[in-house]
Amino acid sequence: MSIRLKTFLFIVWILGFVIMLIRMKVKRSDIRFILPWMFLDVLMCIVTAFPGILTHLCAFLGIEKPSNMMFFFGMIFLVMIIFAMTLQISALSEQVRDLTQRLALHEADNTPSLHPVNPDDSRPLHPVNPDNGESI
Amino acid sequence: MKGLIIIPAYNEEMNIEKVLLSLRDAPSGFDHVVINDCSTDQTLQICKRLGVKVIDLPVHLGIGGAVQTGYRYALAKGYDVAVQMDGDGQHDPAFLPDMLESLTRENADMVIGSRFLKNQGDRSSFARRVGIRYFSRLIFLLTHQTIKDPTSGFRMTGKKLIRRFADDYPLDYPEPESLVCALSHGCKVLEVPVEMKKRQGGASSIGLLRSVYYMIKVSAAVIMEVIKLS
Repeated sequence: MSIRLKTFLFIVWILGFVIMLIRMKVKRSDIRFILPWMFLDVLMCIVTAFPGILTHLCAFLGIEKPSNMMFFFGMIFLVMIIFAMTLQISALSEQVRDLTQRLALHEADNTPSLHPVNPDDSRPLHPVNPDNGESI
Repeated sequence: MKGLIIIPAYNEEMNIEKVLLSLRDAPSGFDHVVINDCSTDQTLQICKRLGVKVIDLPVHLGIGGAVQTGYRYALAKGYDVAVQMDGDGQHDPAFLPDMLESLTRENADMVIGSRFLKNQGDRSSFARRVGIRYFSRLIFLLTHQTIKDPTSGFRMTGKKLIRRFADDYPLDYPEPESLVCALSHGCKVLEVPVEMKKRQGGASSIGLLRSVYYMIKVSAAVIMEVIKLS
């Protein structure tokens, strides 16, 4: 790996790291969500600094080329992050549904009904004016 | 006996008034509540003008979430019987006494208003009937019970299922899934012949393009519902 390429890659990783730090500190993004990406960034720094690790690992796993291995592991890592996100979205939508229902039920309880709930009341529906409760 | 008619409504300004006025035919002892699923048209205003009880969802949840809100309301207010009735005028409250009678006489947990017992009224398009028959077969295979109209949204439930549905109800295309949930929990489900009307206005919630997704999603959900228990 040429020095020029190494420098370029380091600039990219450091820039990425700085952007994540800014998101966390200034925009108050939750560290739980940033952490996997930071982990990936640090990993890339190590690999860029010592590319020999890849060659050894490659030989150990019996993969022909380090680039193949990078694609393979990169893909697995991304799929893991995306799947974790799917789980989070699913949990979030469940929470939104529960909150929406709670809020609507609470509001309905605190709004006086013009047609009061009364099991013995079998009067037909009459159009009423919502402002004064009189029949239209 | 306290009964509650749950009417989920999403952009039903064309139909909701007719539906609410038809509730004059409902048996006595039935209250009604409209669940306005964040409609963007005049649905909420029409309900308010008619002076009916409305639960107004601040976020659009879809049919399942809206119906579940009704069950949660029924549970909180201690209703003994809950009825789901679509807001588009397909379901006729004139059949409620029949359904209620079956529910109490047979001590059932759920009574479904079925289009296919006497084959009257609007029985939906050919393609949909094929789909409905497929679900009916699938449900028979999984639960060994014959339900001729598993996609009917016109259904009456007793206390046991009010409690269950208030706690857990599928979000989209919920009818076959909630039915299998009831069957696999040992609930007694009956069908009563009803006549359904053609939709009077508005668009059906299931377009042609989504039916493939619908078939796959509901099949998977129904199978998962059975696996969860065994």
